Amino acid sequence: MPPIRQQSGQTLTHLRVNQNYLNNGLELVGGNSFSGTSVQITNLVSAMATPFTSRNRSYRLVIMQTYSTTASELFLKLRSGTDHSANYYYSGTSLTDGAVQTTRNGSNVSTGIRIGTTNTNASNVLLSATIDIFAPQEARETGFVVEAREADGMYQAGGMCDISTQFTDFSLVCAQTLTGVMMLYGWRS
Amino acid sequence: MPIDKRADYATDEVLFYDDLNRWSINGSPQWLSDTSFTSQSTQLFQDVFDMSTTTNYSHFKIIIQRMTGSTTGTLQLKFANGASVRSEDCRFTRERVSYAGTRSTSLGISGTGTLQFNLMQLDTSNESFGIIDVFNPNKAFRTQISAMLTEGTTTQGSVLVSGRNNNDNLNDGFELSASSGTITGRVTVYAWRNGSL
Repeated sequence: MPPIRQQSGQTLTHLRVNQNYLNNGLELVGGNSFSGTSVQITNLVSAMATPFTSRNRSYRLVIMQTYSTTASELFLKLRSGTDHSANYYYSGTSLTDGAVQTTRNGSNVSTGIRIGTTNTNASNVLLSATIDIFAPQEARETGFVVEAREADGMYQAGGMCDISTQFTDFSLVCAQTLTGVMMLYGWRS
Repeated sequence: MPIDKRADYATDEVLFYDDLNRWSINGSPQWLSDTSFTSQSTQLFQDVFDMSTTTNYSHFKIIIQRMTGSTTGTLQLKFANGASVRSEDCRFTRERVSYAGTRSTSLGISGTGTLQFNLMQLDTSNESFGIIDVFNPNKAFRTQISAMLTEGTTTQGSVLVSGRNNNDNLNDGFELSASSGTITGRVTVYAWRNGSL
């Protein structure tokens, strides 16, 4: 549906407001800064008891690292009361600024979905990533698509959590102390 | 003062344009359509690329969810204008990395008879997901796509596709199909606004 052009001084009916302004495709669920080695999303979004609800079918998570004590891999685990640590499948490639390509994969692993490699604040190439999470709150498998700027290049991957569990939230898991900011959006469906 | 769009505005009330805050007006991406389908040999998404207002949108995002096939065929995409689906030269690069770590590539290039964009392999029960960005389908330019997809079975993997068609046709939609059998799934289309209205 195309947007409706409005002129200054014109009035909008209830219908046109619904057509024009309530169809935003991404809806901010919440966001905050984080710090730690295993950070639960329920602790980050103070107003949201359960980030994954039936209101939005799928989600987009944006993560920007601001500090890490040591370079380390960052993973995302789904949660339903506790961290789910099984049934993760992911695959993709990292390509460094020096054109070195590395396959990244995990088959039925417990680590979670790989988000990328962090870096220390001694450099300006910190990890930033967008993660699309498909239907985590439905009692079917959950899909992922990850696109990231890693410490030394790009990283793209896809994956899934192959279990029919309804998840309500997630954790960011890193072996080293990590700080950053994140925003969680819901895709309108 | 920002307006609470959901709570503060009721049926039969009117609102002046001047009252709307800029955040609401410029919200993007815009949700355009949501379609669920079952056991379709071809699924046409018609008039989603908004031909009548091409100055509003030129970049679209397609989210594919819960996609299965009646066989383990390859999900394919063709552009369309109205009910006319284009079998046209499609040029793309495609990289697939299995969850076990095996990498493979394939190409759609001129002269090979590749008349569609080959996306991901489907499974009969395990569901696949993905996002496809589409650039300039509703303008007289080459239409470009960039897709990141996740296949559903534990023996499959992720797929990255980037490509373009090879003509300057205007397209208002697209068609999904499988290389064999039928498809079942759900597709949502969003659009990024070009600028302030």
